Amino acid sequence: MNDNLNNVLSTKSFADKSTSSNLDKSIKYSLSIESEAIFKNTNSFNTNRKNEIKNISDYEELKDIARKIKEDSINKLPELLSLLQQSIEKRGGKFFLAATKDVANRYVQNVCEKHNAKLIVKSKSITTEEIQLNKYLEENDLEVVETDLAEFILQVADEQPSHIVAPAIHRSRERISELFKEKFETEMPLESGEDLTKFARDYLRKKFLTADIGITGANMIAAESGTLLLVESEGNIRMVTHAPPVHIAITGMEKIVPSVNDFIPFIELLAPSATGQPLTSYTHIVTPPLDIPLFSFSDKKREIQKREFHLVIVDNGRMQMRNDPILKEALYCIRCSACLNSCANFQQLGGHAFGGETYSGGIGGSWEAGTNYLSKAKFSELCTGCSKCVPNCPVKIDIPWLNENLRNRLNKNQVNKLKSFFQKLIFPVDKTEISFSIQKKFFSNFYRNAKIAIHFSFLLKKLSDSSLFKQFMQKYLGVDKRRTIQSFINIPFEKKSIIKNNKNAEIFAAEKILFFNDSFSHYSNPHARNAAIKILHRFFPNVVVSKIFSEGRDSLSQGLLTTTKKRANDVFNYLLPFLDQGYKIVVLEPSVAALFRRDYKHFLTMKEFEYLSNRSYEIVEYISFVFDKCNIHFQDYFELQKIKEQPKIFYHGHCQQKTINAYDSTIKLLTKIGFDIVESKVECCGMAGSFGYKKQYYNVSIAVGANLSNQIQNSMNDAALTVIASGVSCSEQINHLTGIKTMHPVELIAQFILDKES
Amino acid sequence: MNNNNLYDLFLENAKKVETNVIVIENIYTNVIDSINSITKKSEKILISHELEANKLLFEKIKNSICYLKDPTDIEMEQAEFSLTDSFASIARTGSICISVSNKLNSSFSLFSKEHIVIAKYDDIVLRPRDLFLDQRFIEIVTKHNLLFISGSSATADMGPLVRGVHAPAKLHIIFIK
Repeated sequence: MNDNLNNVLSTKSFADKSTSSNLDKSIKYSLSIESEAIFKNTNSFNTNRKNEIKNISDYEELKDIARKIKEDSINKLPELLSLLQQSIEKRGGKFFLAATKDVANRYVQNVCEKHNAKLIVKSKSITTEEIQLNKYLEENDLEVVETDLAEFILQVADEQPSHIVAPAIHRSRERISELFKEKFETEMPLESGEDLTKFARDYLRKKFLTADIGITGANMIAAESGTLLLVESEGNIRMVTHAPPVHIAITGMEKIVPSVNDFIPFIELLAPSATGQPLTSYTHIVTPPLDIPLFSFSDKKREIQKREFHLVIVDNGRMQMRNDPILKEALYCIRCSACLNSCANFQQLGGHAFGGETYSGGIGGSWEAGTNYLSKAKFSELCTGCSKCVPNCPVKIDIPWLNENLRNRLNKNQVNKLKSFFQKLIFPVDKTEISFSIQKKFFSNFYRNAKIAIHFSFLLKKLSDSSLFKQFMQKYLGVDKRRTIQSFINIPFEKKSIIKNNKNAEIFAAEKILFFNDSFSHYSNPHARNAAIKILHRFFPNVVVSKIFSEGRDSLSQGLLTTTKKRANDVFNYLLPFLDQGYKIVVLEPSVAALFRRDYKHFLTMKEFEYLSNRSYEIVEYISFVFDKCNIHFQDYFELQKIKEQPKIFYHGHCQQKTINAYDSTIKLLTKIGFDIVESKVECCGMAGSFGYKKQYYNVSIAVGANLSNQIQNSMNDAALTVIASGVSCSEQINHLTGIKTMHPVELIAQFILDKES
Repeated sequence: MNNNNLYDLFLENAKKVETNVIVIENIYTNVIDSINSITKKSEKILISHELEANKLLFEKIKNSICYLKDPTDIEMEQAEFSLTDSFASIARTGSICISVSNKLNSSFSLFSKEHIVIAKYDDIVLRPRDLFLDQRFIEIVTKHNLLFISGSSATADMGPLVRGVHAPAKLHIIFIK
């Protein structure tokens, strides 16, 4: 019982994430108590979504259409508001535009007073949570009953939502049963899901039939006709809109689209993206007030003769978001929660840690910043930028970019000029970003750190076992002492191998390749770097190896956007003459390939970005592409017999590699050459560059990584395995968790190249 | 896709959400028999108004089975079955489409424990978007009062899926050829 009380106090007490201490507390709480239930449920949604999306034959086109509708609607918002008001009023409804949450709440209060209302039934609406409607009405002596079962559970437990769509997924059936037994006096059994549902059904049925007012949200609103789109599974929205004589719909202005036809792409995308169902049980396209006779279930005499409808449209920061070049994109969100369910960190933590006072998950930070305060968005630190969410967003929001901007805004504020002056000497960043923490500045400078470390590699090797050194790294740089610091030994390049009589010489000779020697591969994976260069020299006569740069992946992750912009432009300016001469840019480390194909979009002009991204490849993607073009016979170039005798491969692809569609090519090529492959089935390894090194996130990183290491261990139980990973970070994590040293696919392939023509 | 393929796809998806689907030839006695097989001659049945197109059929039904005529609100709330018509169904999602411009279609099918819908075999479309592109339904869809029902009321908030939360626990669809 005591334990339960502690739990109840906890989640509300750290909902305000503006302090590190609350963020830390919430992470600890979620990992110890809620993680199992959250992981099970989000994984289930994630799997179901992936399966259902396969049934949408024009999924990519549909997302483009959905995105365009949202962009146009937000651009035309003032016009649509005006049109909507006319449509509502033409049908006899009342329209109210509320600038702030207080104004919205007061309007609702007035409607209740006008009708001498005592009891209100409510269906799920995040906007009403944002404006804290329930609290306001309850302070004015109204009984407000949440009728969505998950919201009902939260109301009974006095808890924060932990998810946008399924707000009580942090509670298992056992914990719900415990809760109901504690809070309700009843003869009814409260053990099974059926028991609990039956209890809630009877309890809520009485409320529906005697309620004075019903309050809903809205998934979407058509301005031309005043029509609402409402989706649900339980039937409580049907009850809330039918049973009471007065219906108030409250929602944010970003829900408005021009017409009912604009609902269509969203009707086809929303349920699949949210829960993995083709449609939820009930999809309502309704134009209130409903032309349905009033019911007289309750004894009270009602003054009202006709159904009454009010539409309250909430601003509360949205107009400002619309004018903000970054936050504007967050207004397109349709609250499907795909970004929550596909996020490895969210899967472990849920919204009590990876969330604020109302909104949670990858998109949550932008909404807290826009409708609440920027400081409340601090939990967006938990977004690692892995980008796994990006292909799943029905309106193609660049969620990592939003979070990187929030990080930038949150950290640009603190300034301590004297301290910062000395730090700039140690950690080179743009002068406007000196105010960032030492930890962030340290992790923004991998190239610089590695260059220095190599000069001291002997010393570093000795120190890496010293607990004093680890304490120092933890205390001053925020590097968790449980992580092993790499010893940065200098591995030189290998001598170029000579090609003789290459059968496909014409085609291969036509290819001009700039091997972009990325800093991560050069310093952390030099053997893979050498294997990559070996392979390229074996097949292509025109290969140039670039000089080394700080590409900006590390500074981008930390939110140092100005620093990143300078680095991106330096890299582009170096590559430009090669691009002009027709060189293709080939990269080993996927997170850097992803910079050229995705993230540099924000730091170069559109023309520059397209010029670069159309000519950039992840290395295996490129090799695979050329081999296909030439239709090569693999037996002429690889020792196929030897390959057949090799043990099975366990392959873990890199998150960003998957987002830029460079994953399948690796599987295909390795399979064609004759390897037997088991693919990892996790969203992310949990390392994500610097994230897993940071003291405050180490536990999260390990919790996420446990899924991958379990899969590897299980696969190894059946047979000997070679573990292959495309990303440097993933290799580090796998090594840390299992002791296994992984290889990059190119290292594997390089072992079996025929040096001579057969 | 021809009608038979659409029906097969509909059946596959309706089964996934535990909807009971019956298909019969257009003979009144078949319809009555189907309804009786579901309701087992219970008298706590609500029959809503129907679309113009189904007027004759519904008249016959009302003459052949015992149902609650002019029910009070309490009788409506306690009903075991509701019988409504529909204007279309969607194969990809296994959904039935009800017009709620019709005054009682929505309320009757909200309170009853089980919901029976009369549907036309020829009026199955492939995806939700096809409803809005099809001339047959243009008059109804532009009234902007529609309800797509995919299975029955359900929740997964209490652990494994439970049906019949605040609306019917079971959906039956009788397709008439």
